[in-house]
Amino acid sequence: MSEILCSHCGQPNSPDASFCAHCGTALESTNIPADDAQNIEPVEPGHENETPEGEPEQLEQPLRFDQSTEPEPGESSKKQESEPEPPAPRPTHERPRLRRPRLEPRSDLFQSMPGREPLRPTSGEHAEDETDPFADQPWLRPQKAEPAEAPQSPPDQPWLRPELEDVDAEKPPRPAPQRRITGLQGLLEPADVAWALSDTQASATIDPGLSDDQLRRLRTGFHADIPLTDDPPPQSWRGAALRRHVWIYWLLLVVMGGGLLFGSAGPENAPHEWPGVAESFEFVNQLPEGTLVLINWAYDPATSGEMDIVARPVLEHLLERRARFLVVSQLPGGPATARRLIDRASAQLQRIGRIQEVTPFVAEGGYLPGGAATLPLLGQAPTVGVPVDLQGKPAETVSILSAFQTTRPGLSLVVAARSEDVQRWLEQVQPLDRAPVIALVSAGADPGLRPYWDSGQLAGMVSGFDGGITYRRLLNRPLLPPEQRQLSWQLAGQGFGLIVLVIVIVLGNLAALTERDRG
Amino acid sequence: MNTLTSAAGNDAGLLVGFVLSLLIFSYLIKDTVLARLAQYVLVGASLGYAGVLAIKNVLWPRLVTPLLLARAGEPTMPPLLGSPLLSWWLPLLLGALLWLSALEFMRRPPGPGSSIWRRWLRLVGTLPLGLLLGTGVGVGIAGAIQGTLGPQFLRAAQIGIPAVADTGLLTMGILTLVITGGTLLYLHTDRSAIPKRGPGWLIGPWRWIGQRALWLAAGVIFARLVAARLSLLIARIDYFTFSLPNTSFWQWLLSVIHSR
Repeated sequence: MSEILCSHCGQPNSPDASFCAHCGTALESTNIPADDAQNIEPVEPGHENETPEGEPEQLEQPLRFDQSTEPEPGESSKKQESEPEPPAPRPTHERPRLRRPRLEPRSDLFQSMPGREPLRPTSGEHAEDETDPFADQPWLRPQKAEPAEAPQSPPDQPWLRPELEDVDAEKPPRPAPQRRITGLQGLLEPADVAWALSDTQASATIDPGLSDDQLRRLRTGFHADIPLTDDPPPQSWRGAALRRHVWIYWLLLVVMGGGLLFGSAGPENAPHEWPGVAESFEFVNQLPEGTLVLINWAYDPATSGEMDIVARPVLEHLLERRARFLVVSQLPGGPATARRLIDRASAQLQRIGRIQEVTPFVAEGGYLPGGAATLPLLGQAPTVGVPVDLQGKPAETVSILSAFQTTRPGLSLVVAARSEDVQRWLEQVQPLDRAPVIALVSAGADPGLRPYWDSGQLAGMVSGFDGGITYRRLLNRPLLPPEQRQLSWQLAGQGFGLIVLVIVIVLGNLAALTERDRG
Repeated sequence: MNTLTSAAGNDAGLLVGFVLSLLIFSYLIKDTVLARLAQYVLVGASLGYAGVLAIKNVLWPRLVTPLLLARAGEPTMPPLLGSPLLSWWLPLLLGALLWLSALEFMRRPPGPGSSIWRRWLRLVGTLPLGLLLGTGVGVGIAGAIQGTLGPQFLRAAQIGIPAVADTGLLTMGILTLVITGGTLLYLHTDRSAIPKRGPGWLIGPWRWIGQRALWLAAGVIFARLVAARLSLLIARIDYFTFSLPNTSFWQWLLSVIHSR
């Protein structure tokens, strides 16, 4: 069977459908099947008011949509007096053209608007029907006798109302239902039929004399939330200079590179001595030889450029003190990063003759997934969280692990690029094992951890490059040339970087002010 | 030989890092496919590495090996929960259930004629997930109370004991009270709702202080974050200028260039 075209939206529907699947309009027998629609010849210019068979226009009206016949605002009174002009030629289409039904104005609503002309019927033929407002839309005529016998339908399901069905079989066939309400309501959504039928005044269609775009804006405006604050909305700046942030990157790179290449001529700023660094040094310096240290390694290669500077002097200090480590990490890249840095630190100490070998002092607990839920195991005893070493040997057979089985750690070292990792350790592990905690963190994590330092939950805190360099100076041992070079680079780079930052902030503010003045 | 292999591996790592760094830095010019490629390589390699590490470092030595050794009657690590059934078999079952239910949830929802096993899997598969979430939430809340809320409150409460508090602590405590209260007022009150008369006139200035304190804190965090990123940038430049020229490949490349 052929499909049926909806008279409202023109979309094809299955032949047994009662309602359009696209817009919800009731499909009636007068809708043209899709197959027939294919055969409809395009309307020739100047013959839009005639069907191909020469039938009255009323039968085809629901399927025609021709905006060219719509009056422009203010033109309705002129067109009332004259015959309708033939519409302008349009390109022909295979699909039958739909024509918007001519609309009856709701004069009581819009005539009261200031500056508006009285609304009148929109064409000459409608002017002839002025005495009967429902001549063009007889299905909107109020029912007189039938409603008393008709069964009541739910008010919220108007499409079930029997008034809409063909109860008057003896009457001539009605025109197909079309958009029962147009204007603001009928622009985008199917019409509310119940509202239309219950109020004859309201059922009269509205032509407010606005374009579709204007109607859409009105509709959007009605649906927008009303602003609740009295503050005026912020002015929109053009701000193009601020958005061109690539130049900031380049400026940063150029000045940093220049500063590093000519580092010796740069500002030799001393690192800032943050609270917690000297305390960390004193604490490690007083550890007895062979102290068990539980290390939570919470950074990976992504942040090793900064964190290595922080962690390495402390690790060297602990190795010098003959501390015994158990290293665990909750990051996949953590164990390898820890192994690399401990190897470097031990190699450095071996080179200067401080230690002989590092292997007896370090045990790897490896990767410890599970997040915060696994940390309390380490708090109960490190060997509960790490029952075997990386080779699968039970803890009691590994020397350092077996020591952790019987003795609580004398120090917990949290090496983290984020403050959350230290915070989690202080919440999950320290309340259980009561071991003092020293945090080695990046500069960005420092502000978030200061309250823990002030409250005494941290025995020490070393943060950022300046913390690491301060700790290295406290070690008071001569630096090798590569270390010295790296140190001077770091200091010069930080100095130049801060200069660049100040320049960027000043220029950015000036650019913002300039753009604001222009806007 | 071992040292040679290690040196070659280091050189290869440095060169791969050099290429990937250049690809990432190409973002400075434009967000090109090269920069994206480097990011995708980073994400993919990280995920693959994490998966292999979880099997090698966690599942195999802590779950599979104890099960195999226990079946063979050989000594192994003691079960955490007392019995092998609870310590190893139950986690294995729950883990398998989680995997299967995850696979099931990746399929279309079961229809009317679908197998009852699929419905059962969707129902029972939530059990390990619920255990995970419940444990995580419980541990997190308990930890927040015992590790942050309690100690921080006790520390702040010390200023209320003048015999204990010295001048510095008292000043710090008053500042903490003023700034914390002002921040709360700024975040939770509407300026138009502040009364202009009566004791309420204090709220306005207090709120003003809280707003400025928030700005100050944001500035401090930003400054420390910039310092951290500067350190990372300097380390990368250091790598380009010193570590890379020391590799054997780089030396060989330079010698080839100079010989021509």
